[in-house]
Amino acid sequence: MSNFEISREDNKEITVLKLHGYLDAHTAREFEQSLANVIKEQRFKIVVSLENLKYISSAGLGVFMGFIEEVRKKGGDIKIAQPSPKVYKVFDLLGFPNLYEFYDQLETALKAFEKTQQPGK
Amino acid sequence: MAKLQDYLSEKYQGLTATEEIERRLLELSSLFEISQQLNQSLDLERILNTVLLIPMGRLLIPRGVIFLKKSDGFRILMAKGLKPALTSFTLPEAELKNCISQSKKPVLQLNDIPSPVLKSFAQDAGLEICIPFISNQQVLGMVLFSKKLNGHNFSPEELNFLSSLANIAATSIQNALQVEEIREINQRLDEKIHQLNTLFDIDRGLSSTLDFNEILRLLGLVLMGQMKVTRYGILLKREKGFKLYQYKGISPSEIGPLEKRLRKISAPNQAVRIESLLDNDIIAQCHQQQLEVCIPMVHQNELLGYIFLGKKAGGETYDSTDLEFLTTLVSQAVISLENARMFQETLEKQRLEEELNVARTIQKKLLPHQLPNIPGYEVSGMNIPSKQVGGDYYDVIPLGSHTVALAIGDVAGKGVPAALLMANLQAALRIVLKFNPSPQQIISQLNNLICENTDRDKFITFFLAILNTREHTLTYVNAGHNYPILVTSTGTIQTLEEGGLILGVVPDYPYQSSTIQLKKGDLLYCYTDGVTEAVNHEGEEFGEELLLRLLNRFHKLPLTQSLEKIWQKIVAYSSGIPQADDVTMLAIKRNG
Repeated sequence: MSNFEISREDNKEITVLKLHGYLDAHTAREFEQSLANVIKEQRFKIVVSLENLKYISSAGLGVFMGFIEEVRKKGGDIKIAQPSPKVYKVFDLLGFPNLYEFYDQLETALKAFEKTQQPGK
Repeated sequence: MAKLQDYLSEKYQGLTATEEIERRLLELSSLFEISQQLNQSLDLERILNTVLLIPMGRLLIPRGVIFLKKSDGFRILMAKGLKPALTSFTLPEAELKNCISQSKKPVLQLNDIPSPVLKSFAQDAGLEICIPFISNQQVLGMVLFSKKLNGHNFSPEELNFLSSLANIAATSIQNALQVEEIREINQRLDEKIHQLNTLFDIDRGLSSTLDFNEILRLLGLVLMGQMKVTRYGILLKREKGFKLYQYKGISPSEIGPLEKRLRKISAPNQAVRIESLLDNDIIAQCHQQQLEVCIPMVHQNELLGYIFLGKKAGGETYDSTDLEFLTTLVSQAVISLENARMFQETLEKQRLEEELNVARTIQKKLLPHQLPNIPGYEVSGMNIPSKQVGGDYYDVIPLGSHTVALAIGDVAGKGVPAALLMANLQAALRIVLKFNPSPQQIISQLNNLICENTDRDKFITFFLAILNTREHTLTYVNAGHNYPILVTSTGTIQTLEEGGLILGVVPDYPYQSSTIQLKKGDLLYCYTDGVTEAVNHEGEEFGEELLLRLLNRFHKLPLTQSLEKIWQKIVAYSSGIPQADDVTMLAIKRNG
């Protein structure tokens, strides 16, 4: 029934969550749980890869908002990589690019953590 | 050609005609270039940039400023070489009213500028000339330039050039402004579509679950995502006031004063900024918690709670579109919440109903289906469970050839717990009876057993008697049960009170027993409080007095029939009012 999946890769101190399918009111909880688990493990450098994400709704955006303060307070960040133009448009419409770092490539998102050893903005 | 040269040398004294032609060609090619550039572009910033840079380059002008008309007046949209402190200058629209259209000159010198405010700004900024952009008789804005770097005045040709430039620019600017407006409308349209999608999405999400807390959680996510907030609180109205149910970024220990204070205000009828609430305490508390917006949760004119939102992470303020959207979103969520609540209630009811069915079945199976024959005696029992299923119990158990145990009891509580305790009692009684003929000892053992197995709030009123059918003696212990009534054939009444406390409260309690003699025609009537405490419409109880009268009246009837009659009287008395307790009766009568 659920056409949403998350896979996780831990890359040294950076955790990459790859979202697949449709992130909507139905599936937001799954994503929320995954992020909560990563943070519970004291891992605060997180890249969310949206390469295979087909759709995102406000509830999905809400998950990003729900963790960002805590993560940044702990010196980490949630960076967003590889959104499709359609998905990026939703972020853009609500003004997320002012609040989060977006990257076209996963590599550059990972590298961005190397550059900023200090807490994010 | 020679003619033209003559003409030009006459016009431009001191310059050779060739030079002049070249200069004019340069001007024209500039205009052509500008015109091409401007007409190709619909990007306002590029247009303005071109309009400033080309004259500055061609005519060696170090400073230039472009004003465009905005809602609050003429504002500087682009400036080159201007002191940064001056860039925020705004010229009220009224200052320019009629001024420029009155002056027929396409290029205004400093002294021609009719607005004193603009004139003084131009002086401060070191600007010398002002060229308005006019399209369809509307002043869109203007460009101001300083003196040339070499200190020369602008020649009439140069002024001409600038004025032509402004003419071309005006059309392009007009087009770009329109495009920008369309873009803004599109953006707003996109936002609306997204909001509608959000409503659709949350509607699907919300209606896919009937779990109250899940709906609140989802609502929280959507609020955070849509409004870009990291803190929110959902406070629901409960009996004693408002209570924080779902939140993020708020410390629940600090929300107490707000929870209390909310009782004092009447709810706004839509989402509002905190400052619009008419209570300074609440405003202060919300400010302290960094909450900016309050959304009432209303269902069919009934206030269910409030949602508070913190500031937007991007720093934007909540505009009327946001408030409208929040009102719609929350009213939709409230419907889902109400559905969920009603579903839970129905579920709870069903569960209770099922539980009662189980209790009813247990009780029915534990009560005797058929009473044993006792030589020389008539025996009859009856149990009508109430809707809630009390824990009434009665039993008649033959022990030996001439002894029979009679028991009646009422377990505290209702439903399955009472039925289970009753099952416990029944099993224990049947076992203890096999090893022990003394009612006093049996009751003590049962008491200790129940004390051990149950909490103090669980107890049983119980009456146990051993009937000896040879001696016609009845030895009994009454553990806090309604006194059984002995009615003799002559109509005298005796109640059987000897015994002690209810079972299950005080371990090792010293119970007393008593023995009575049964004569021919004596009727022993045992009952539970469901009989005497049956209530009528006025709330009055059936009572013992009425019961005694009925016992006397029906004394001569066969026992089963007389119990039936009493039951009918109880039914008639309570006439359809649902009764709280089971009605249980057990009676024996000596015939032979």
